[in-house]
Amino acid sequence: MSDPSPSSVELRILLALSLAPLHGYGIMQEVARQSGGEVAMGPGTLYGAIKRMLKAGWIAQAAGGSGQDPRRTARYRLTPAGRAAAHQGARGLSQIVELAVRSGILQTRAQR
Amino acid sequence: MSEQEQFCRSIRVYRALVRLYPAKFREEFGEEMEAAFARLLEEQPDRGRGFFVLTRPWRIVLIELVPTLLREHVSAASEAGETGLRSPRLRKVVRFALASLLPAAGYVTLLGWTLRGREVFLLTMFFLLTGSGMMLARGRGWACSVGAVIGAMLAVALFVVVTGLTEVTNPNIILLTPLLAATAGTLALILATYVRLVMEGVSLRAA
Repeated sequence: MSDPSPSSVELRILLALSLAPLHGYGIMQEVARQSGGEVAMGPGTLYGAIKRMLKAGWIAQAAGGSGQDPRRTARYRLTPAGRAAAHQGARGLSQIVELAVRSGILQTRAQR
Repeated sequence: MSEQEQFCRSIRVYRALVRLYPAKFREEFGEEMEAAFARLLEEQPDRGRGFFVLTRPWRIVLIELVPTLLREHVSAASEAGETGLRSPRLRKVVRFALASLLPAAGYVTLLGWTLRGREVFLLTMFFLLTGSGMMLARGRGWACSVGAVIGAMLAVALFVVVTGLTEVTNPNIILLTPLLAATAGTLALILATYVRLVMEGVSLRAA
């Protein structure tokens, strides 16, 4: 693993892949769904991140991904290293959220 | 123009844009990017409103195009520095050229910003900075010398451009360029030899 902490785009992709292996467009759809339509990722951003995450060993091509697909798109799956990276990224974010709540910048649902 | 024609035209334009990415990235992901874009086009809510209407997929592509192009080209360039140059010797030359260019560029900047008549100080700085650059690059072998000379030549070129654009010199800086290049090259060669002696030690062949 070359980089222990994923960027926000990489973290979103890792979270999208935590449910099931997906091909590129599937990842874009899942990221959009998980963010309530707020995050729209284009192919350039997506495949740049996929390239980096393949290199880091966070994701891998899923077996039999493009067999029947006439467009020959590969499916990607999360690796154990990717799951650990997602955990670390999410934990870092939760610490920031906790800090924001403690300093009164962010309100929890119970406080609203 | 029919909806199908608009679709095909969009794909052709996108394919042309994908060609702007570095070759290796394109070979690896170009087809998949095109497929993902095609799916985006197929499922866009404002489909059929014409090619020149900036539809959602095109907005996404145009927003991300420049940053992702820059990122991938920088990434490809750094990968080429690591592995792309097939000859290990050439890799070493490039590494030392960069190692000596960066401090030499610092010297040129200093030269531009400080007063005249401080050449001794600046020359010392040049030696110190370039030397430390090559030390950091763990200068070894002939590549160290070649790289240092290339770095010095690049620094002279930079100096000539910077001075040419900012000052009027007498005689003209362009006329002085060969002299500057020869001096800088010789100094770099001496420095590189010194660095090699320090790094490699002096070895004497057994009689």
